[in-house]
Amino acid sequence: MLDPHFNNSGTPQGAASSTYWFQAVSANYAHYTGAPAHPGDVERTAAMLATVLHDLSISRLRAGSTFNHDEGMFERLLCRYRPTSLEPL
Amino acid sequence: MTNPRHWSILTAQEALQKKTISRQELIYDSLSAIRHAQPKVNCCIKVTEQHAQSRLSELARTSFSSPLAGLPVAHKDMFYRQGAVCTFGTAPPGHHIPDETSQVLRQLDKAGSIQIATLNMAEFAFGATGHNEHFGACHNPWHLDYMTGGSSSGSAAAVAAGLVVGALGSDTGGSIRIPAAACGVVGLKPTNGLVPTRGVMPMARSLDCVGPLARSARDVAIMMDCLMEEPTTTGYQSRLGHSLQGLKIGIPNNYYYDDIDNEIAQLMQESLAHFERLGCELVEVTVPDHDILTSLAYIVLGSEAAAYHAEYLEEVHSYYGTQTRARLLNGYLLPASAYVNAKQLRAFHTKRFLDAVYQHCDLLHAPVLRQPVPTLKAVDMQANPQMSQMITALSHCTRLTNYLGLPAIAQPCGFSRSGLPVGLQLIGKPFDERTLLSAANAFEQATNITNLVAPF
Repeated sequence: MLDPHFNNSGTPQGAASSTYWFQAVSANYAHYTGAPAHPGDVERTAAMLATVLHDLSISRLRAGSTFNHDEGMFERLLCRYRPTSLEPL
Repeated sequence: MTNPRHWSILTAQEALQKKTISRQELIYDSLSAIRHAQPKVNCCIKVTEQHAQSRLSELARTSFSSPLAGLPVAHKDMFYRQGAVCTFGTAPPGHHIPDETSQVLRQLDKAGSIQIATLNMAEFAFGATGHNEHFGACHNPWHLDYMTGGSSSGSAAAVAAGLVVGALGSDTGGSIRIPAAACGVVGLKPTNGLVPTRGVMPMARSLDCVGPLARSARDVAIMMDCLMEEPTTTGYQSRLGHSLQGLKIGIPNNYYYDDIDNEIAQLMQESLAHFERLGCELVEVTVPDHDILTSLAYIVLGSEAAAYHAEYLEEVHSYYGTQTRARLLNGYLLPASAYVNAKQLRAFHTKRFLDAVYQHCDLLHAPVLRQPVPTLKAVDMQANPQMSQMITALSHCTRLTNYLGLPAIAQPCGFSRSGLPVGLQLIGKPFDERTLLSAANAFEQATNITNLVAPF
């Protein structure tokens, strides 16, 4: 699905309008989910997408140049705290 | 002889060793208690008497020195046992007959524990209240009109009712800690990756954690020692009883206390005063990125759950409960780029959290729920427009921890005016479960709020 929060260089564009999300979800719901929309599904999904993608754009802004695309970074960070006492006997 | 329902793991083991009770009597007593409780509490999916009997025979032929040997346990119905139907709390088309036993069940079997039941849970672990459209809602044994919390609803209720000494749950956004707090038991969400999830129904693999629920920090520590595949050089009971002198406890000055109920805030203050009397130093800390972490956690959870359910949901979506279906389907519209970014940003936010919080303290103190435990009726929202808001509110204090990978323990710290338990939460540095257990144990000793058994 088109993510209007970013242009081609990944720069946040600000929050998309709720109308955009309602229309986008409404047009694609059955196709993406494989199920017909029940009452409230489209509104709830549109609201969710507007919120989480907006927050994701803020997260990327905060990370800025330190945004590390290394997949294993999180696990390595946790492991730095792993005490030797957790090693098997 | 006191009522075995009130026994801790060590008391039960002592009774077995002194032959005050036999293993068979203890297991039959638990089976009888679970049958008595079931019509009221509805915490079970299946009583596994035949399995329990064969385990008793097996144990009779071997000698076990483990503290769990011969003790009754039961688990959320999402842990695979070879050849046994695993319902995942859903309708029959979604049931699974595994060809392997989960690693954690193998560990607990190896320790000699006896599984007497599979327990109720939110369908596919998707739910924070304890409702289940297929098996019926699990009721809080402290007051049957109130919610147990979820998704490990049966685990918390069975332990609180004294039907088993301990249970396993899973926590992807608060599913161990919320029911533990609502039912007055201790629940540990370990550091992500510490306890193996092989042979456990996934909800969102990157966030899923398996952990124990029991009636005291010591019992939780005993279960953690049994869950480790290899004995470690320092077990989880090693720091129990140590002084907390000089331990720094962080009090968040943002996010965790947003819109908190006065009664809960008061109990949080009282619990902090207890920690201070135990020699802890209280320091104020500011939690970073709280405004966006819920969304990042949701992107990961929604995408991974959608991926796991894709094939099944497409075929039989009409069998899913209303709320599960509504929450799952959201995930199919999340862009793949958002999922990848949310995963990649995890290290950045975790480092910021660790630097901002644990530079000043050893563990963070917070409520589990900011409001008293609600009635089942008040949170029976199925898929109505307030559902997402209600779930977000219930998991407000727990959800961030799974995205950040940190360990957290929930323990009771008092009761609300309505007679329902109130829980506090201690959040630690990665792999620092020992400090959490030590602090929780010291709090129990100081307050005598431990080994609570609900008089259902």
